[in-house]
Amino acid sequence: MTVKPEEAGALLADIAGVERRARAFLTYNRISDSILLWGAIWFAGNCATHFLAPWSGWIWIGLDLFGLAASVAMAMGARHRDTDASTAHINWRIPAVVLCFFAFGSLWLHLGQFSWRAEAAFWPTFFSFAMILFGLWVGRALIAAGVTLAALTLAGYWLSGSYYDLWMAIGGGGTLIGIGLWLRR
Amino acid sequence: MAGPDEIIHQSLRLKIMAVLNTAARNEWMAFTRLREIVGATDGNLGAHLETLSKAGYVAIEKRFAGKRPQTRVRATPEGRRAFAGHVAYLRNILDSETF
Repeated sequence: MTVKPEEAGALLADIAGVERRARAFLTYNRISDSILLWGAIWFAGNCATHFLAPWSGWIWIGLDLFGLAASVAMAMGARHRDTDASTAHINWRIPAVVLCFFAFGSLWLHLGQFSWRAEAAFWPTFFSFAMILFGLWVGRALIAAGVTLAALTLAGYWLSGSYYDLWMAIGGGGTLIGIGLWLRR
Repeated sequence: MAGPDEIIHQSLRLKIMAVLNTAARNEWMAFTRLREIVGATDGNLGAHLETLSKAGYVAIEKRFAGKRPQTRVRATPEGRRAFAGHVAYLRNILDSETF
């Protein structure tokens, strides 16, 4: 078998193309569980804020701690399943990223003294921003998901009136759950 | 320099191996997702996977995900080695032409 340089170049270009698509899919699949988890937490937390307002602060603290613990447990589970040393360490980056975002967001919410309404819009838009940035490297699906989440959050901020928490439960948490299911389809 | 691998060299089989090589060593990929990434029909993909499986380059598993039957595939260590060798061979052809 003889392979000409033009054919070798074309085959290598084909390989690069499918590898890019495969990496995007594998990344979507790996992060979809975390997105589903935080979507469920946001849904529950915002429902609690609407229906159980006096206890919502404690409920949010409990949900956030549960989310962080579950993120770490999911990373440990993924690492246990994955014996490939080149990718095993990558799974730890997901809870590490979540922790960094929490720390940065909490700091600026404290320093900024936002209203409760702005605070409720802050986290989903902050998360949308991260998804869009991540999507620039990984693939367009994450950019589309981030833009959708930000648009729904801002629409709720300006238009939902006294149903803001319920809007955020569905528009924020529900959208994240939808995005997580879509990415793992 | 290693010679070409005639089994992997076929365009679609090369794409299949490239996709499976991207996954972690024990990570499976669903047949439907693989079909979507490489842009093949069910029959065509199935036939080429069969060829790769006979060569020992891929492992194929049929199972039930809930009530739905699912076929999933992963590259074997032999398949990964053969793919790496063939890519090195192709790169070598380009490098030889450059110098």
